[in-house]
Formats: sequence, structure tokens, C-alpha cells
Amino acid sequence: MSAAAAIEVRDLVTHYGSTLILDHIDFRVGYGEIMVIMGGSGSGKSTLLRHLLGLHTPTSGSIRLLDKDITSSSPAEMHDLRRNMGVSFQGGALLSSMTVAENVMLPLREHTSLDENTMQIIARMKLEVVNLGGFGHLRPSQLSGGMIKRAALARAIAMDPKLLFFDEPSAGLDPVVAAELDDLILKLRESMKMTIVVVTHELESAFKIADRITVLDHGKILLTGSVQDVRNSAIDRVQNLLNRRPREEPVDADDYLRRLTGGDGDG
Amino acid sequence: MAEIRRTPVSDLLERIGKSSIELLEEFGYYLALTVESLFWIVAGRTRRQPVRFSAAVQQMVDIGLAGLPIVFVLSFAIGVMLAIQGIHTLKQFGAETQVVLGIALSVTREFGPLITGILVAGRSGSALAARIGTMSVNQEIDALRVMGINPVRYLVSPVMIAMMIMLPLVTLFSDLAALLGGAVFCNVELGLSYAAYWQQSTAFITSGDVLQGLGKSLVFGVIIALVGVTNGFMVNGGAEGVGKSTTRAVVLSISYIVLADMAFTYFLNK
Repeated sequence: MSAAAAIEVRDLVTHYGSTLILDHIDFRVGYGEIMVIMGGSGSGKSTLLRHLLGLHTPTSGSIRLLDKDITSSSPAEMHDLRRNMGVSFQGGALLSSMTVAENVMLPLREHTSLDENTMQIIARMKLEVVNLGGFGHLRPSQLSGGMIKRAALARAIAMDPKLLFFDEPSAGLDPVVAAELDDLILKLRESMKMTIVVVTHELESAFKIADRITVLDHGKILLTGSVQDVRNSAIDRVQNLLNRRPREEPVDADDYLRRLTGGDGDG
Repeated sequence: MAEIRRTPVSDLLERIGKSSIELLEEFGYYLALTVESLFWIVAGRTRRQPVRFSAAVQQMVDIGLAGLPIVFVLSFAIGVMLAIQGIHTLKQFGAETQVVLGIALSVTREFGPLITGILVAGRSGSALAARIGTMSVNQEIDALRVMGINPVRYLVSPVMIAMMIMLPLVTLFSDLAALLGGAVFCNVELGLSYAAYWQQSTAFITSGDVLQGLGKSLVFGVIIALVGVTNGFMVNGGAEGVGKSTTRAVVLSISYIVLADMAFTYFLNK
């Protein structure tokens, strides 16, 4: 069973300080699948992504990427694994001291011994893929929001990774550019057979690209299923998210008073 | 836990305790960072993550060459001031010509390294903290990590190399500029020829004096790199955080430089 999973998370528990962020998460993504992680702010979706990227150490549980447990692998194994991972961060995270093309070439420069010309050709090809041909000489600060996301995507796929992670692809973009990015993600899966994980809170985008959707809420998985499953879900919180309904949580009077008076409500 | 009664004294003790722990943590971080950056310099190649020489050269240009004009001006001025003060003091004993000895020794042992350290801390330490701080705010550090590029290897090791090479070199330059400043003033005030000044200076200064100064400057370089980088990595809270960290980096590195200088001078002259 585990042989067919590109990503397998088991019983993941994480804390920030002493606050519980992710509560016993189980999560599986098959090879070539597009999995969308959805949830409101504070649901823990960004934390889950950061753990999948190996940026934090979980309290307990295991995270297997391409059949390697990243919670127990050596730095050398991790280094090899990272050559097969591409990440596009929410703000792009392009190195501002370099041009766009140099940013795309960076993983190649650090991980391969290709000669300069070959790297430049690959960088141009990747920029063409994301429709940024001819913009390689610009600095990240000279690009618009949508262009930065696409440039970050070009850098993420520079090494032809098996796993691609995408944090909030459509946040802060106009609807047309956001739709183009969605198409781009679908195109990448089609042509390069990548396994793709997208974290987003944009419903339309999620429904368009997802094979399956995982909905997180307060650090727990509410539901994992197809687009249809999510649409038809009877779970209140899922419907709140779909229909943009405010939460209606009962107020605990004692707790509320304690918070107001600054008593030991946080204890 | 909630049973402890808070008094002004307990609050004060708590604050002292907290800041002591933070200080200790920070020094631990400096130590770990030193070890790790040196590790990558030595073993990076075998780990398929070499420290790029070109990055170190770029840093050397930023740290060293770009700062030379201002180092020259300030060091020259210090040389002139030492000459003025020296002549004024020694005049009371009728020993003005001995001023050359005073200038030569205090410049090579003390003022050259100190002025260089303070200037580089102000110029490059702040730039370093701001650059790395901005990078961590923009998730660029995370991006490096997920690309399998160790941030210490990629960002810190080149700075470390550059600081350890450039600080002694710039200090040497500063020594010469300050001696020149002294020479010009002595020439004007005492009519001492440049040849005689140079001859006297070189006769007084031993290689030990110069090396003591250069050794200090090497340590100052490491201090500037560590404090700048650490404050950069510790940035949180966006643009305001970057500003705070930059200020903190400059103030701390100058303070550490002066304190380290005092310790050095004490132990080396016992």
C-alpha cells in the first residue's frame, strides 16, 4: 500500500511552543496526483506544508516522501531528496540579489555540474514553460505579483522534480492570472507527471485543479475526498468554508470572562 | 505556578534571569554558527556543497575595497590627532621628537584594528544583518533550505572567509594611513622629514606589534560576521524587525569589539 504513495503522513502531531497545531494528521498523496490542502487561516495548513517540506521537526509521527521518512533521514539523504522536490512559496521567495534567470539556474548550479550554456538554455526553457520567456534578465523587484509566482514556479521545476509543492498559488492575484496559474499546474502534471500538493483557500482554484481535497480545520483533518465529496459534504465546517459563512461557535461564558479579566485563561 | 506572589523584586529577578538565559543562548548560537560555517569551508566539497569562492570574493570587495576611502580618511585623521596630542603632551618634557614612537605603537597595536573594526561593523555588519533579515522575512532562507542549499554554507561561510581575510588587510591599510597622517602633521609642526619619520617608525615597530594588531582584527572580523548574521537570522516582524536587528547588530558588534579589544590588550601586555 505504501509503495503507491508519493507522500504519506502518519499520525503527525506538531506544536508551536506548547500550543498544539496539528493533531494526529494522516495524509496520503498518490504518484501523479494533485492534492489540494484547504482550510481557513489558522487551520494549520501552512504548518502542514512546512512539515512536508522538512522545515520543522514534528513532535511525533512520520512523514514519508518518495518512500523516505524525512523525520529520521540523515542530512545526506535529505539533500538527495530535496533534488526531487520543487517548492513555490506564497511570496515567490526569489533571491532578490539575482536576476530571474539566475534564480531559476540556482538549483542547477548547486546540484549539477552542467556547463553554463546548458544551464542558461534550461533556465530559458523553464521560463518559457511558465510564459516568462524574455524576462530572465529582470530582477524580482521588477516583476508583477503574477510574474513572481510564475518565476518561482519556473525555479521550482528547474530540476524536473517528482514532487511539487505550491503555497497559495492564487493569493493576491487577479482572477485571470489566477486561472492561468491553475492551467499551468494542470499542464505540468500532464507533461511532467509530477505529484503536486497545493495549499490554498481559494475554492474555485481548488475545485478546478484537485484530484482530491483535504480540508483542515483547527489542526484536524475534517475530510479527504474528491471534489464531489467535498461539495456534498454534510459537515458543517466544510459547508461554512464553501459558502463563506461565518463560524457560529457557542461562547463559553466562564472562559470569556477569564480572558477579559486577564486571569489564567491561557494556563 | 500561579501561586507565586509577584513583587517588584521578583519581577526584576525574573527579567534578569530571562535576559541572562537569552544572552547565553545567543553566545551558544554564535559558537554553533562559527563551527558550522568553518565546517562547510573545510568539508563542503566532500559533501557536494562547496563554499563558492566567487561568493567570498564578492563579499571581500563589499567589505574591503568599497570601504577603503573612508578607512583612509578616518585613519589619517586619527594619525593627525595622535600627533597633535602627543606633541602637546611631550612638549611638557621637551621630548616632542619622541612622538613618533607613541604614534607608531598606538596605531599598529590599537587604533588601526579598532577604527577598522568599528568602520566595518558600521558598514558591513549592518548590511549583513539587513540582507539576511530581509531574506528571512521574504522566506528566501526557507527557499534555500528546500532547494537543498544549506543557508550557513551559502550565506555565512563566504562572509566568514571574507571577514577573516579582509579585516587584517584593511587594518594594515589603516595602519599606513594613520602613520601617514602622523607624518604629515610632524612634518608641518616639527619640520621632521618624511624619510626620518618613516625610519624612526620602522625602527620602533616590531613585527610583534603589527601582528598583535592584525590578530585582533581577525577576531573583530569574526565578531562582525557572527553578530551581523545572527541578528539577520533572528529577524521576525517584517520591515520593522529588520530595522531593529540592523541597529542591534551594529551596536552589539561595536560593543563586543571594544570589549574584546580590552581583553586582548590586557592579556597580550601582561
